[in-house]
Amino acid sequence: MGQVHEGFHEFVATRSAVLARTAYLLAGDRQLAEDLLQEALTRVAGRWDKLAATGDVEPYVRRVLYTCAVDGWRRRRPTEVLDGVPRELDGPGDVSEVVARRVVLRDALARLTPRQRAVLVLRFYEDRTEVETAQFLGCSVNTVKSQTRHALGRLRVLAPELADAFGPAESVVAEVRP
Amino acid sequence: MSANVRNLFDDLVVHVPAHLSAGDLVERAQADARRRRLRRRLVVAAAAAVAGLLFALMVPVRRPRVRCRARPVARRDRRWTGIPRGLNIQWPVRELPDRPGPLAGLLETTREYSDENPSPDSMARWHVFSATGRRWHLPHGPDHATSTRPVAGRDASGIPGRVPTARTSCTIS
Repeated sequence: MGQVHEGFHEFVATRSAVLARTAYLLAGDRQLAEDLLQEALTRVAGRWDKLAATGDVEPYVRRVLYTCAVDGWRRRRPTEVLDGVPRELDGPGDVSEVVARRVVLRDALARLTPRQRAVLVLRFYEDRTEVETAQFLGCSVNTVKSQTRHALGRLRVLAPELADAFGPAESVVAEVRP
Repeated sequence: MSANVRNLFDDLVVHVPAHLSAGDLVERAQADARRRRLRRRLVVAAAAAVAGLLFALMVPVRRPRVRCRARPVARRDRRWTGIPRGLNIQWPVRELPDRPGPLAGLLETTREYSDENPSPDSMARWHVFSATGRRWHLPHGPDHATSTRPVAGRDASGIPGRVPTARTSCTIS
């Protein structure tokens, strides 16, 4: 048990920061991101022996993060209003263009569906291929392509000041949710 | 485009994990995992108990039922009044004690033919019964019955006395 605890503790100490960033992008909120990461780590702790023996700890954690983010994990949590300035960005010096861009991006991401957010994070934050993304999310490559296209289209509409970063607009008309 | 989006994401999450404590995460994760493991075991145990209870309730208790009506061979003979009108279910059926006493008849029980019981004769059992319908088992079967016959008579119809035979066919189901 001591070795299990040490191994698990070492994994969390070294990888929790990276995993927390991914969870934050998936959840769209710091508190929800912490809950999401905690959920993933709880599942890892329950089967640490098996995962540590096969060396698949981090892939498993990431899979749990994405699966929980997409498949209804947030339904159990109270919906948070993400409008306005986030807590971590609120401060006397946060009036620069960089901070404003963060707020815009964050709000725009919050308006995407969980699956669209997961596709964007996998494709552009973790640099996964379309095939890997499809395997991660358990869907087809065509679904990944269409979700990516629609997500970028919505971001262009929701955050027009960042539209240059999302590439040229395509002929697909993005459906914008109110 | 990919690099631009990546830069935006990096910029968005640069401050995120600053306050996370690995110790707290580990402690909470292990505590939650223990709690879930215990809850899962309790659920499994409860489900097994419920399933066992349902199974016990659904499976009927199979008791051998003896359905027969003892008939005196000489039915028209009004002298025989010590014959029970029927034999009730009795369990257990003990062996005939080794002491003298009045008996009403000799009984052979067999099981009905079925796929599970292709030779009903092998299931034949011999009993004697009293006037009140109580039965005793004859462990040695027909041999034992033979030694009883002097009391009841071979078919009990011709022996004067109080002990006629009720040679009857009964089924145990």
